[in-house]
Amino acid sequence: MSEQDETLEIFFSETDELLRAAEESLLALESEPESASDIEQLFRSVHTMKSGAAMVGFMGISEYAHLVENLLERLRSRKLAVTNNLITFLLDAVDFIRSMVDQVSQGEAEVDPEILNQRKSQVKRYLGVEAVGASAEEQEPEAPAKEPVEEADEVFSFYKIGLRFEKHLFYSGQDPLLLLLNLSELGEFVQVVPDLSGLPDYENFSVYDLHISWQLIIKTKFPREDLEDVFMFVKDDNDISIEDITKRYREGVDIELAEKKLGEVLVEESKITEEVLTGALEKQKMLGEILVDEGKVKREDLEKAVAKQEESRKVYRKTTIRVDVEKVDSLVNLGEELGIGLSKTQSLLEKQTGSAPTEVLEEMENLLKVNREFQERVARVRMFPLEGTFRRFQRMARDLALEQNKEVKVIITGLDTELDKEVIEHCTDPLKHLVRNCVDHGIETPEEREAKGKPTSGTITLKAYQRGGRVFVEISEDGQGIDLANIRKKAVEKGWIQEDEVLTEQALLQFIFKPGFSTAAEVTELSGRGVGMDVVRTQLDQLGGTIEVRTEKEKGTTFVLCLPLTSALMEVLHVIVQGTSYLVPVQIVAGTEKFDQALIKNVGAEERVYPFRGDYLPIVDVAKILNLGTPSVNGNSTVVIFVDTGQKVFGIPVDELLNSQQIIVKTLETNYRSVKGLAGATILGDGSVSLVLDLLGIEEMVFKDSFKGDIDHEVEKEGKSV
Amino acid sequence: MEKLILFVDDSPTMRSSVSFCLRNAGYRVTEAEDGQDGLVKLQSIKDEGESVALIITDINMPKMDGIAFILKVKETDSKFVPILVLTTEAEKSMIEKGRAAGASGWLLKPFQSEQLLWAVKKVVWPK
Repeated sequence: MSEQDETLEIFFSETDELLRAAEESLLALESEPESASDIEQLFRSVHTMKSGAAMVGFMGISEYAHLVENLLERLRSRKLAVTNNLITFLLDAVDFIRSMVDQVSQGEAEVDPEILNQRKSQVKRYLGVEAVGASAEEQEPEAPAKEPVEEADEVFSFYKIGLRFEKHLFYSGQDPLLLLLNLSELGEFVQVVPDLSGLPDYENFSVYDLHISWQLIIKTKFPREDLEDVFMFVKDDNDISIEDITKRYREGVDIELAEKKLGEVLVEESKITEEVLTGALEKQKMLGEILVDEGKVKREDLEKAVAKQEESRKVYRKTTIRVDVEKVDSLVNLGEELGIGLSKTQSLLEKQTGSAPTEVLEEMENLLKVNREFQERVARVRMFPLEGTFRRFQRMARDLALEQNKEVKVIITGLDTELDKEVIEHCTDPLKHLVRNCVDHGIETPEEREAKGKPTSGTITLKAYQRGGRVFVEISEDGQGIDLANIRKKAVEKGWIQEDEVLTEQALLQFIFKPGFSTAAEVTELSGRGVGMDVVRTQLDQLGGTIEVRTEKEKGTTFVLCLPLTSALMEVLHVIVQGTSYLVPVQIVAGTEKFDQALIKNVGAEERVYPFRGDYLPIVDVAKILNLGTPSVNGNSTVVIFVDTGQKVFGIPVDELLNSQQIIVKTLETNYRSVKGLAGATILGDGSVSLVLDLLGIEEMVFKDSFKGDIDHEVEKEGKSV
Repeated sequence: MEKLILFVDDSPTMRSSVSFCLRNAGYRVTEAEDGQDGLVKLQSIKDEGESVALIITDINMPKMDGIAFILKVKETDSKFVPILVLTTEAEKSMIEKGRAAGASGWLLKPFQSEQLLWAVKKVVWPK
């Protein structure tokens, strides 16, 4: 890679980070418009992008970023207020920069100069630079001619509320947290500061007394009386103060004061000039210098420490590299082949124990162990944190909510949770669908929410965590919950259940994953792409994942996805069917039963069933389905394995049930062609090849396609022998 | 499980209308005829392994009045349970007495269901 290319690589990866950071700050600003640190981060991100782009010669990006930076400068100096409009505009601007970067990264021109000019004058209009000249270019439809004034803020007031409760508050049955909760329904807490200075030491501490007082700032649409009303029962005995600070607060003098540097405050209040401040700052010495001057530290020690610090920073910066996925994949493959080779060698050696010394066998054992670890480590390299995916959904939920005039707060946790790149890619669509569902069907409109006594803005939580060898992703919202009565109605309509059939809540909920459940009535402009929950379930199944749903009326709905860490590794049961060895993915095995020919029952002419946990379930002959055409069906079966594909539970009689093991699945496509009913193959420890069953595929072949074909035929023959 | 409210009042009409209003709003209600009955009911609720989220009591009642009842409750381990007084008594000195005894709030009869529920919401955590 030439030096030029390397610089470009760095620019792309840095810009990627910066764009993400900018987006993050914008979303944070939306919920906390006064946050100085977010404005600062946003400003810095755009600023860095601007200089970076200029450095590598992308002038269009640089010029545009420069204008945006100017706009942000106004935010920073509080000449412009943060409004929803402005945030939407800035998010759009970030997207525009991203699109330019994407273009150049593919070796194309940044952008059509005309579009760039249009975009630039958009920003300039916000800046007020082109107030007059702009009208000539009015043809762009998306250009917001609206003034980014503080329209949204206009109706809000800020109150500073001091709560000094009397020590014995609890004895009058009052709970300060409940008061805060009630207060929070009137608006948004901008700041909550508990005062813990009243806490006594351990000996004098009484859990029945209240030692904490609070000071908070609330942004609200409600009049002062409503705030006072919250404290109606406690205001007489306790020290409750409510002060309207709308004016002071908006001018940013009140709270921000503490965060500012003294010099800046003095300049702002025109007590000193910028030059005086700079002059004074130059006189200020660094900590190290002062220590050296005072003789507390030797200069050389100081220099050493500084050098160490710098080195460590350098190392820190170097800790990540970008690697082509193919390179990692080839490592995975090599590790695998190494493993197979070692296994073969081992079994060869074992066959001639007479000649192989034990040291050699031990060494082999050791090598196998090392190689297993090597394979695991390589698999880890392919793992990525879910952060990027979650951030994207945060953004998506926000945009969707905005389009539907809903208010949504998205909380994301467990961003460090890592998953195989491939798993992430494959679960993105199902997740996207679920998030979309949350906004479309879960969260109510602000008016509806208000009427139900909920906060107007809904909350969607994305949470990821690892437990055992699996990663869980929870998506929950505090919306209206799934209407169980409605599901029942639909299930009856579709003829899936009888009108009076008693079903548990969970059993009813399962219907939403059934193909054909989603109806036109539910398809909105956004979630209507003909994709229902059944597709979500199928996609997860293919990935080896599962999905669960919990819901409570008016409280909301939670979807829990359980995903494998990596799609390459799979836990399987090793079985023998008529002399051939097969592997069955463990996660869909519902249970096993001893096989007894006498227990098989024929249902009509189409199905043979076998008792399992109180039910009669269909059984499927794998060899027949895969067209291996071995006669004497079930002759040697000893065990029936029951599998639950999510759509259907059915049994597979097998001759022998061996062990369960972790394998790396190889698809057949790479070397042969895809075969219906088989998910792939693997090479077992002893070097033999075994086929992995694709039970979804088998289910399809048996229960959908071939009802009138093979099965009929087979059952006819079968019928005589039973 | 819905939150349980103990309502103490000697008037059957009052009991039925308040209970109706609270039940309608999704609470469970146990009724008592006076302070003494209130203490008995409180104990039996406890014996069943349950707890009350709120006590609403009248002031003027036979056998044991509201103030005495509040004071007694404060001697039990239900002392931190919020207590709302619902009475015709608007005398300042009486309200003072109630507050000193440990009442959480004071509401005047005749009540409007909206007001009552709004007051309940101030002292009972949502489910």
